Amino acid sequence: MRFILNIQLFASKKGVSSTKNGRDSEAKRLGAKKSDGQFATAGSIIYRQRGTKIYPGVNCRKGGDDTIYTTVDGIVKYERVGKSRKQASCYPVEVK
Amino acid sequence: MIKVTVIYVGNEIRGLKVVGHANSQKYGQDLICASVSSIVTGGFNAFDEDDIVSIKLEEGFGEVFLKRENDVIKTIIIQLKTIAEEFPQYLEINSKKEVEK
Repeated sequence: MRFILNIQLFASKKGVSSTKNGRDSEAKRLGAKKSDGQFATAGSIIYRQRGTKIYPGVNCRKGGDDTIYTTVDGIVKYERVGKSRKQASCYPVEVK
Repeated sequence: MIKVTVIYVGNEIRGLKVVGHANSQKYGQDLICASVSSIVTGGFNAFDEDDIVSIKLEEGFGEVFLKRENDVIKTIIIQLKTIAEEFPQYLEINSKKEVEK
């Protein structure tokens, strides 16, 4: 025969599949920076988040990017508030 | 989209050009491509050596020029038209007039 049959002679290129995905943003390393029971100095970050997964509790405040940080030196405590909320607090250590 | 061009010299069909990819399905499952590939390859194999001016067939491209019109090329064109009627989005047939070389 003059030509051998390639049954996909007029098909799109073999294995070439274009995907519109494949992009992702830089990871933001969110989450807890101090764990429950850990000592934290005043002003140190306890929890990095987007939105308020964790609310600011006793001696803690929320930054502009929703970061929770302490206002005093003390032990970090994660507590439940109501049915579904959590808050992070910081309790100063009593010096005996 | 596969584009077929029927080349006339005067009122005679003297050439055929088939270019493109059907893209109806991914490689290996493209039924439109399989049909066109079979028709064109089989037809190009059926031409008489004496009738051929030039002939070429490779991936996504087929072209033949003939010395005279014959039943083989007419059959190929009818078969391609049959597919084009059902699947106009994947196969388009045009004609072109050329001057005798």
